[in-house]
Amino acid sequence: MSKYLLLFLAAVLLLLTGCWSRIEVDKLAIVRCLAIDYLPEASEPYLVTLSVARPAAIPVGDGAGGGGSTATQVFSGTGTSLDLALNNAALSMPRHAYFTHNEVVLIGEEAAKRGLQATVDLVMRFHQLRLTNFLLLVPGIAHDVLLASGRLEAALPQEILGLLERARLSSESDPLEIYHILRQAVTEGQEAHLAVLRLAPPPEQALPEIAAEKQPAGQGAQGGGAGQGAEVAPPPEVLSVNGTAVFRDEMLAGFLAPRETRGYLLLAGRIRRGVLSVPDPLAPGKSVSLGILRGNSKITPRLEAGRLSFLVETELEGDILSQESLENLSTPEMLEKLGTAKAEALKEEMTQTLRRLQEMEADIVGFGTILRRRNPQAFQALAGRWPQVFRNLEVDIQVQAHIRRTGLLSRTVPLQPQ
Amino acid sequence: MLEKGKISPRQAGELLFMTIFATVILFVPSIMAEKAGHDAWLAAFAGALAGLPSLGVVVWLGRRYPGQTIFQYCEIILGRLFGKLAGLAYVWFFLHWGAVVVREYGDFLSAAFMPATPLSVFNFSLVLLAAWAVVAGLEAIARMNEFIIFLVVTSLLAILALSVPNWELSFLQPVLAEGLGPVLRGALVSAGWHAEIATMAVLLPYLTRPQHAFTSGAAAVLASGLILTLGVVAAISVFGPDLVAVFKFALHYFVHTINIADFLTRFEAVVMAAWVAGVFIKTAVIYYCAALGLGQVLGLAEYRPVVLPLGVIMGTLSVTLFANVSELASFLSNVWPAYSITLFTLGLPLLLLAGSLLRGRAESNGQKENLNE
Repeated sequence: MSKYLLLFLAAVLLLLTGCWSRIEVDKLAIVRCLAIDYLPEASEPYLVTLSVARPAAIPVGDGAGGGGSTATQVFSGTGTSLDLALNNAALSMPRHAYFTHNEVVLIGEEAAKRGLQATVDLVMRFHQLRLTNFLLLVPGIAHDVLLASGRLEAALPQEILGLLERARLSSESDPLEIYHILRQAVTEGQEAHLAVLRLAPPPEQALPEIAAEKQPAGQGAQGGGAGQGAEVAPPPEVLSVNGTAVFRDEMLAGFLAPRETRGYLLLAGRIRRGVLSVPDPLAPGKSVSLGILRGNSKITPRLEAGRLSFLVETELEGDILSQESLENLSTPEMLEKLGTAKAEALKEEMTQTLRRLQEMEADIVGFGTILRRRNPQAFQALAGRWPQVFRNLEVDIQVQAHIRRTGLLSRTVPLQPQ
Repeated sequence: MLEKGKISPRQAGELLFMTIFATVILFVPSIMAEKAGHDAWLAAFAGALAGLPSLGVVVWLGRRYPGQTIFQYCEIILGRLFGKLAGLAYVWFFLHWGAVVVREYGDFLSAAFMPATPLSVFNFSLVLLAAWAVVAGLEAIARMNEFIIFLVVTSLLAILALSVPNWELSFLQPVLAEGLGPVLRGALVSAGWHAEIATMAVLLPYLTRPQHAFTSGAAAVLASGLILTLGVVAAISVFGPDLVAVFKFALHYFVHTINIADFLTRFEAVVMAAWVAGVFIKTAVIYYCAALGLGQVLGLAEYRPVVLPLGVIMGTLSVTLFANVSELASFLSNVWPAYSITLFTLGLPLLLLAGSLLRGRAESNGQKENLNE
């Protein structure tokens, strides 16, 4: 009998168990965005800022933000190492910091100059941070970005994610997930690059027309775009994702402007949509807007008589978006001509980007990697001084651009009959 | 006969597949990427093929001594004293191996999911569960595995398929740029795991059709080799070889990167569940071999009395064998393949094979002499 009693008591024990070191959802602070700064003058130089979803704001539908800046709260901490700073920031919160829903890691310019190593180590080692986080560089102090008040979304991380999603469709910047950046950085013969997130001053603060149209409805859907499209009523500064931070040996080496970033994307064969304007072949002084729809590049190393050079063959497709003149550009000859003009213009962009990268000795396109894959022996001989080789590398760029369509018009609408 | 149950050759193949595969997919891609770089996938498959000789030797032995496990026929071949010693060595091997597997399991869960939980909680709970399975017998483990193998294989193949958009196959180039050296070093690791197919030496007498032992074992080795190769190709094309080499659990990070339309994402829990189930089968099979072996070597009427004592030893060893995760990693990549292949999965079976051939010749010579008289 006592045996059964004992067994029964043991079975009852099972009902008393719980999860080991569990933390309920209402005790979690869900971190959505993490900013890393280095302040050289401070005694505790590392500054980590966390943008945390405010629990009270979570059930409210997104985008409805009436009062604005309340959907997230910012906490920060400093320390002599990155991890200490992160710990201090986490300790300053009344809840348990929870990072698995973190989606963006920002790194300040000063921290980036000191190298990505510490950041990468933290992100990869810490089991709560995911490799699909976006890693972005902020010129100046990354902390400030998390305080930006001019935005469309109620929550700042949401705003950044929206900008990133749009940036991935255009060609002004190249936002990448951490694992993508890492696989590029650890590969021999290739350097890393990050997309740049910056605080952009509002275009024209003084335009009364914009201030008058204060009704929130009607304008929203387009988001911030490339820095000019900010219509939200009185923002001091809005966020924008454009341009590229170039690294050499994990240290920040310089920046590419949005247009140069497009040149990089063309070189790397990852071009997305874009717009460019070329001079009208028939009407001097007027211009034609052409769209880039898709494109591809092929890079081939050439080794002739011990001389290394590369051939970049780019092929693009696009259409006519608008024209200023009255001329009929929709003839096969004209489209051919426009295609050539477009190819010329984009080749110039690529050449310009390549020159800037060569000045920085930062091979973010991965010419070295391509050589290593095609001809390992040749690369081995150069591997030790690849940055210098890259600096003087001869690259032959050949661009072919096709204009496929002319929109819904075959010719422009002649408002003044000739 | 300590085990009265019988399993079909297919069930045996599935058991052996899981015995190899459960840990191979979690640890081996990183180790091989470190040793063989972008050629790791070649090493993975080459290593898997190296499991076949092991299988051949034990199957040959098993067919020569029908109805007997390796613990029993090594007494016939080596004589009573040395046979018992070799049998005990095998029991130790299974015990040690089991402890290492349990440790791998505990370390993974503690590093990737529950850092605050003591290692012994994971380890002893797994050993306890496995002990229950071992007491239930070989048939029960085999039937359980039929369900679990489906879970593990389909979830893994689904994960690999979902990751295809992230693949960058050019990471696999240049093929064989550094020659065969790195590939062979990597293949040794894969071989270390796939030679574990030698476990067939214990299961073979309990097959309903022992003549199919080689076919089912070879299918297990090849299936594991193929899926491992696929996994290595996937991991390297997503991360590049240099990144895979620094990961502790490449598969775990690999699952992180899957994101289809922000919707099909965060599959870590699925993979963990499948993997825990897989390691449970692996532990149960190894544990069963240790228990059955001890029972046979000591000539017991039942192997069940030794199950719990062995479990206590295995659980304790799993906690105390390695002081930290680096010792485990270095043991797995540098010691384990050489140790298990030269001694237990190929070395000793080959010795037994040679002994058996010599003895066979001596005996047939003896018979001839008898005839001559």
